[in-house]
Order: sequence, then C-alpha cells, then structure tokens
Amino acid sequence: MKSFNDSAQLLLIAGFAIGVGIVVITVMLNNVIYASNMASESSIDTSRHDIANAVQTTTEAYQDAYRYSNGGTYGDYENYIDSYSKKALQNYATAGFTFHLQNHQYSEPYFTQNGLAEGKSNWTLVSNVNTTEVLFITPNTSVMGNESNPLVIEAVNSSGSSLWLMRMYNTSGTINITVIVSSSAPSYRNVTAVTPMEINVTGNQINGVGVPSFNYPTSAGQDYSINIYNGNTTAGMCTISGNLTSGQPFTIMRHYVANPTLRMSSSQMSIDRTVPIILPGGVS
Amino acid sequence: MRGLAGDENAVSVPLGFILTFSITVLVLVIALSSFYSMMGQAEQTVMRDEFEIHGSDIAARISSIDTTVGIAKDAGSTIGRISYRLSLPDRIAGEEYSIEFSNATNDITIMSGDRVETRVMIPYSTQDTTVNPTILYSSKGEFLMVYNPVNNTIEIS
Repeated sequence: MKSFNDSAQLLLIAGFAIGVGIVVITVMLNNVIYASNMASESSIDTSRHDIANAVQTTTEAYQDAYRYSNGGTYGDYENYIDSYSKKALQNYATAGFTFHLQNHQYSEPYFTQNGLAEGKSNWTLVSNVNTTEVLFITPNTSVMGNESNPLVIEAVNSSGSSLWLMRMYNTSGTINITVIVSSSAPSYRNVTAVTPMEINVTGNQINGVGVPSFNYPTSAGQDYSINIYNGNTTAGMCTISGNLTSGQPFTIMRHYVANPTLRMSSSQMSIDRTVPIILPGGVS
Repeated sequence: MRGLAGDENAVSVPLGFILTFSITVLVLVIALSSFYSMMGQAEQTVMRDEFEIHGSDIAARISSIDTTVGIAKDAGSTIGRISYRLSLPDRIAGEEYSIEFSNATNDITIMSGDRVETRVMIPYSTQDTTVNPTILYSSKGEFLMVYNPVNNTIEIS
C-alpha cells in the first residue's frame, strides 16, 4: 500500500464520479418536478360551475322580478331584471367573467315542460301528489290542438293506472272537453270558445259559471302524478296547488314564459345560451 | 521471496500513469454514457407524464362541454355557441407532438414524432355530443374547441 501513499489518482477518480452523479441527479429531478408543475397548473378550470350558478340565479331573479311586479307592471319587472343584471355583471367580473343578459320579454306559455312551443310535450307536471286543492286551467282557445292532437291532462297513480283524464280540443270555435274517470264512460262538455276561458277543475266552473262536475279526484287516497300530453298544441296558463305525499304543500303557477339569452365569457371560454323560465314558477 | 507489494522491480512510472489514466477515462466514458441513456429515458418519462396531464385536461374540457350541452338540452334551452380556448405548449421536452382525436375508440392519442415510446392514449366520454375526429399539431400552440349546435358536434381546431 505504500506505493499509493504519494498518489492521489483514486481520490481524483472518486471526485469525478461524485461530481457526475450530482449533475445527473440534479438534472433529472429538475426535469420531473418542472414537468409536473407546469402542466397541472393549466388544468384548473371551474367555469362549468360558474355557468350553472349563473343559470340558477338568473332563473330565480326572473321569477322574483315577476312576483315583484305583481304579474302586471312590465316596467317594474324590467327594472328588477336590469338591476339584477348589473349586480351579476359586477359579481362575475371579480371571477373573471363577462355577463350579459338580453331579451327579457315574457310571453304566453305552451303546456310544454319549459313553456316553449318546441319544449317537451309529454311530461309530468307534478308527482307524488296526495291532495289537490286548486286546479285552474286557462287555455288560449285560439292556440289549441284539434281533434287529432288534443291537450290531455291525466292523473295517474303509482302503478300507472289512470285515475282521471281530461282531453280538450277546438273544433271550429267549439271547445270539446272530455272527462274520463278511472277508465269509465267518458262525459262530454262542449263550450263555445271565448278568450280567456278559465276552467276551474276543482271548483267545477268555467268562467265563473257552474258546470256539471269534472269529478276531479281532489283526494284520491293514494299517491298520484299529473301528466300532460300534447302540450305543444295548446297555449295557456295553469295553476295547481295541494299537498305532496310527504305532507309538504306545493303550488305551481304557469302564467308566462321568459326565454332570455345569457352570454358569458372568460379568457378561456365563452357560452351563449337561452334560459327558458316559467313565471312565476313554483311558489313555496 | 519477499512480499509482492514490497517488490519494486519492473515498476515503471510512465506505465503506471498510462494505466491510471486509461482506467479514469474508461470510468468517465461508462459514467457519461449511462448518464445519457438515463437522460433519454427520463425525457420519455417526462413526455408521457406531460402528455397524460394535457390529455386529461383536454378530456376534462370535452366532458365539460358535453355536460353543459346536456344540462341545457334538459332544460329545453337553445345553445348558440360554446367555445373553449385551449393553450398547449409548442414543445414538450424539446420535441413537437401530435394530438389525435378518434370518435371510434373515444380516445385522445398524443405522441411525439412517430416514437411509440412516447405514445399516450387518454379516454374521454360524451353522452350528448360527438367529437369530430381530427389530428392537431403542437406547433400551432393555441387551439379552439367549439360546440356546433347544428351537427351536435365538438369541433377542435
């Protein structure tokens, strides 16, 4: 071993090896850490939730605006929407979004799910009903289906059997109303078309005048749903209230439908969609 | 017979130097070549990692558009336009890459050049829309994902 005492080659080689090792480890670690951080940073995107929130708050704002205007004063309604629009614009600006609403006008709804003529025409108005206290139907007799496409409102129990069915259509100025209770023989009422025509189903009246009973099962003693068929053929208003099987009261009022256009955009995305809103909608 | 360690016959200083020098060079060459090969593998690993992250990001955006369309359709509303701006790096680990969308297999395939080692496939799923099959090249940098309400497709360009 004496011969190595005066030579430092081994130390030198070891030094080189350690140096190269440090360089390798540093460069590799650096690459991996840098890559993961750079890419994951760009994948955070919450705009979907912002849009869903905007649609929800806009729906509620329109319904509140309609109630605020007592369903009549269009100026009040529009002022409410304008101030909501301004507030929402400020709120979304802080989240990096522009917010724009246009086309606030409301119009007469169809008996479709969203109230628009092109909406879903066969649908369930309310399910799990225990009792119905009030059912008003006010069809627009000039926008009404014919015999082959009548508006049908049906109460169906949970096993799918029909408890009560009302069919109405316009035949050259005469409104034909057919009522079938639990698949028994139908009863007919023919009424000359007048506008507005308010049918009080639970109170058995048409335009305030008593008519033979519609035999609506206000309390069927079982859980039932109210379905609407061919809703796209007929326009008009509708109000229903009662109690659900859970014991909770419900009220659905369909007076008008608004279909505003909502535009939102951020640096990354932009969306342009309509938001159909039933006014005043569900009232608790 | 003295110990070999103590025997200094036939010791040559130049020979000792040459031997030490060649061993040093040999060790350095081995160390450097293994370093390069490790770097190469690390580069491909980094590429695949990055491709997976960007691919998942794109798949998330496709789902995002699809969900937004689904919710809007369910509410019976009409969609005028949905667009997403997609920024991707021109190069990953110093190489350009391609992104292929296939609506037959519902996969996004990202690879650099034609190297199979760097190929990554990320699945995406859509319920209410379909993605137009296309191939994008990273050199463009900025891409646009647009929902086309007429054909009910997501177009990426």
